[in-house]
Amino acid sequence: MDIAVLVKQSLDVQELRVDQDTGKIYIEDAPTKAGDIELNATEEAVRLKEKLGDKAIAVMLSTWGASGKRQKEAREALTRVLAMGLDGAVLIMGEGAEKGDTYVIARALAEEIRGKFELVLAAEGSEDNFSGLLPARLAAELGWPYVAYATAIEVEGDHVKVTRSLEDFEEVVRVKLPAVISVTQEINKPRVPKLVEIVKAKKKPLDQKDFSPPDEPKLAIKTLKVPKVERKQIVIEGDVEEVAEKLVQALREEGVL
Amino acid sequence: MADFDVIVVGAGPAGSVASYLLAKEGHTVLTVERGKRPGAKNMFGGRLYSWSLEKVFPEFWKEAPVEREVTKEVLGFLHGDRGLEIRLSARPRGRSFTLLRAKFDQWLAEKAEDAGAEVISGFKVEGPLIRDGRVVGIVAEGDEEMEAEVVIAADGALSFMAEKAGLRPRLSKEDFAVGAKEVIELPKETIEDRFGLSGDEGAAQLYVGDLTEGVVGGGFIYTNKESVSVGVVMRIGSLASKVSKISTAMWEITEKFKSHPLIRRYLEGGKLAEYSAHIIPETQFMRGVRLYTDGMVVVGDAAGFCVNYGVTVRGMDFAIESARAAAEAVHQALESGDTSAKSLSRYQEILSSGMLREFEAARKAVDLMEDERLYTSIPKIAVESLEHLFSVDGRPRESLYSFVRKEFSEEGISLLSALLLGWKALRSM
Amino acid sequence: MRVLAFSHYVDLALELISAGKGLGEVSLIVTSDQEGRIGEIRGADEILLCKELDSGDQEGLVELISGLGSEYDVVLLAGDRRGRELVGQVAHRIGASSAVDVSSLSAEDGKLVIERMTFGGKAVAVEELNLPAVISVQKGKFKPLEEGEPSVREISAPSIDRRIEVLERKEKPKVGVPLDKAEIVVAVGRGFKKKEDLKLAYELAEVLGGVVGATRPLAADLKWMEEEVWIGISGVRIAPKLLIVVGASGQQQFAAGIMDSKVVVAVNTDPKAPIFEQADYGVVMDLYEFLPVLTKKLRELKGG
Repeated sequence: MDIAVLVKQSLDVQELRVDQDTGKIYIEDAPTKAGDIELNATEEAVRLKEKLGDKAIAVMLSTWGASGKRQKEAREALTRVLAMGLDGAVLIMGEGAEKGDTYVIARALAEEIRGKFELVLAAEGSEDNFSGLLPARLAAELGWPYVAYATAIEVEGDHVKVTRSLEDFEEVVRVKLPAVISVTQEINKPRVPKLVEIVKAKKKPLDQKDFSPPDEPKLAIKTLKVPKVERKQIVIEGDVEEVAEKLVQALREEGVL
Repeated sequence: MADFDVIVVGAGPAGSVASYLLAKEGHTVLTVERGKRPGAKNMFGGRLYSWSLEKVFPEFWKEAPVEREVTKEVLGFLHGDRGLEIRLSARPRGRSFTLLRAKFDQWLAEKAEDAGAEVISGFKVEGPLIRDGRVVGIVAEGDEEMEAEVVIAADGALSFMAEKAGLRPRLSKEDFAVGAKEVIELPKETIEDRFGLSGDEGAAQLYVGDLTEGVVGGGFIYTNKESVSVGVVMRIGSLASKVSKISTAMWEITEKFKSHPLIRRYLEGGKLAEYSAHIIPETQFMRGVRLYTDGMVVVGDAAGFCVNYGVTVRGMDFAIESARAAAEAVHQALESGDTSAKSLSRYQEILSSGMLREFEAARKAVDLMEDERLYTSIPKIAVESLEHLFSVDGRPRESLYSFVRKEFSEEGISLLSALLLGWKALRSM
Repeated sequence: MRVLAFSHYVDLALELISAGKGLGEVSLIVTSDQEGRIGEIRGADEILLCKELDSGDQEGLVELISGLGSEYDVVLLAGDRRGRELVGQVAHRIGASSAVDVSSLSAEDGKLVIERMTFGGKAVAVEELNLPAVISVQKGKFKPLEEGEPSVREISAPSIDRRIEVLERKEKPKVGVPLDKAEIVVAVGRGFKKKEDLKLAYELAEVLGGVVGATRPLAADLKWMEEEVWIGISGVRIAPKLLIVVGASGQQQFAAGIMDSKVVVAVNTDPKAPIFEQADYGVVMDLYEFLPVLTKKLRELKGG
């Protein structure tokens, strides 16, 4: 049973700069990376394949164009997951890909996955957008069952047993393969690759394919706004007693005590 | 057989230049950087004297992400809310550039990568791998061993590589200074206006005075393209012992510096883009450093090739030159199949016939800068004397000479020691 | 516009009706397990009662909603985990556009214009969706309507080839007042050196009558606390009237989760910690030194 892991080239939101005053968002300057939860998905794929002796491949579709910088970053992100033990990677990227919405991307990914894999693992949400739409759409495109929020996965023949975490309860479901499953961060602790594995990962097969979204997107981002959070930002100074006293006073005046 | 011909620890300017030169010679090179990416951790070194990098990449400034070429040098004295600036407008021999390390280091690392070096970031190296008293590789995090014919330690001021290989003594906090730096964004035109620059011209401005409250140190401003780097450098030994307290103190002093009337006008309306506090090596420990051993050489800050003038730090040009010398020696050692200490001693020979002389001269200047009076009495006297000279209020005025003499005696500096200070200053230049 | 709505939670369904009424006529799907609460439903034009389907059957829901969805312009689902799970599947099945965790929506020129948080809370995306559109609506953004009794129409569930079988369902232990409904929250971060020290935060929360939440490292990585109290964009988003953040630096993940708080107090030793920019009142001090004193002062105050 071969496994595909969806890895998104996400903006590193921690390093994304926004200007509260002008509302400018410096997307071009921000680096990209594989999302943290995608490392969990990768870890799970590697554990499963180690047990079952099959192949596990990373599939990345980049939506940040195809500049030299973004290409390099995409390859670095893939090196990171390959070093964890995946066998190879497919990188789909091209100019104009940033126009692709989840509908188009799901269709492009399905092309890569149909007939080659029986299990697709993804993160419950990507690092930068956290919508979780893509794995769900991919499942629908492939006509496969979809289970999200997995905290444990066990393969039982042509089925997988998935434990998933919902708001008020935990559910154990049995899913017929092929299937798409998205995982949460609780599922495992991603291994930290060794240096030698990173060196080797750079030599693993990486198949790069060109992508340009064919249709008119169903969704158009009109604008990106910077949310204005007005905070007073008053630093209370003095010794411990004074500060505590002043803070209590301020909170009473705010009417929140 | 070893995994690599060369493993370079650290992808700062020294590490990347050594990696580049050796990869270009056809050696297999692995470069391991601890930061998320090259330059990510190197906030300091906002000014590069170009002489050494020019030997590796002639006219590199045409291609590298440098900010501005320094053509204006300012020395300032601050006392209270008063201040005095001495401005030199000239293009001294030898170019120098302001730059932002995050961009610049990445550019250099890419050069190494393009030449064939494997550059891996976000990975910690614990120390050298030593067998039978010889360095044969590195021990990476998680006790992973990786072998190389030669290891180049370019792991910066705190170099555990050099320390663990027994090439330098364990350092105490007195061996370091701390620096705090902010990058403040301003429109290009505003920068050119306020600093009197045009085109790609840049300014480097250094300040001493009572802002550091008697501690050896001072403030600086460097102009970048669309931002200025502003900050302070101070001796660590003179500051409180707790690190959290130091960072608070650094922050407060930086704020004080920035709000001085003379400094404030340069920064007004600017937007804070980043802040960082950092450890900077002092020159003293150079005295206890050995540069090579069997299978390993030490370059850049790790070898102490860094001069702290009190108010500013010069290190990148020495780091690059040391890396170039090291690469040459390592290349010859690899070619001859002998990577023993004896063979690698060529590194020191190359340095002795060139850079070390310049480095020693630079260090002499530091001896002068260590005089604490430079940070207390001298700025006060300079500011007050000129203030006296320009004060006109209709009352009879003391002569400048007698005013200055009085100032010196108030500060407890005899005319003789003032002369000595001047003499030392002249000699060191 | 014709709007179809469904949520696993009747309370959230009421919010969806309210959101949908701003666009047009709203039909709400009610499953067999929700039938008993039909009397509480106000504001919808029509209830589509499906007695053959339980809300625990995600596969059946995808089929049902996708089947009905093509007759509607907009399908509204809720922002809980199972609601979000449906969005992409239903949208793709009916060839619709989609968005999740939408905080505002309006119809413009035959399109649905929505706002949602993105980039870990650093930006709000204003998106224009072609119709039909399937979206999930952020919790707590729309007030349930009080007027309007809906008509009820029974519908049947399509038969499907089932591939997912629920083997077991285990209730999670309830954690007192849920974080997203708490009026006062004390949020703890890595500034606490060990688990036992959290006592300081619990004592403060107790005297304030609040609850304790945590940053991701404490809940997910260190496992010092339940996953349910993890505040952040992928955890719980909170909106208390008073939030006291102790020993947390203010990472983006977390910052996005506290944005709706009314008054924010931050306690941290690092004056440059980003949390101070997100706070109304900042205390640059060691929490071990400050919390006991603050708790004592508040106790005196409350004690009379």
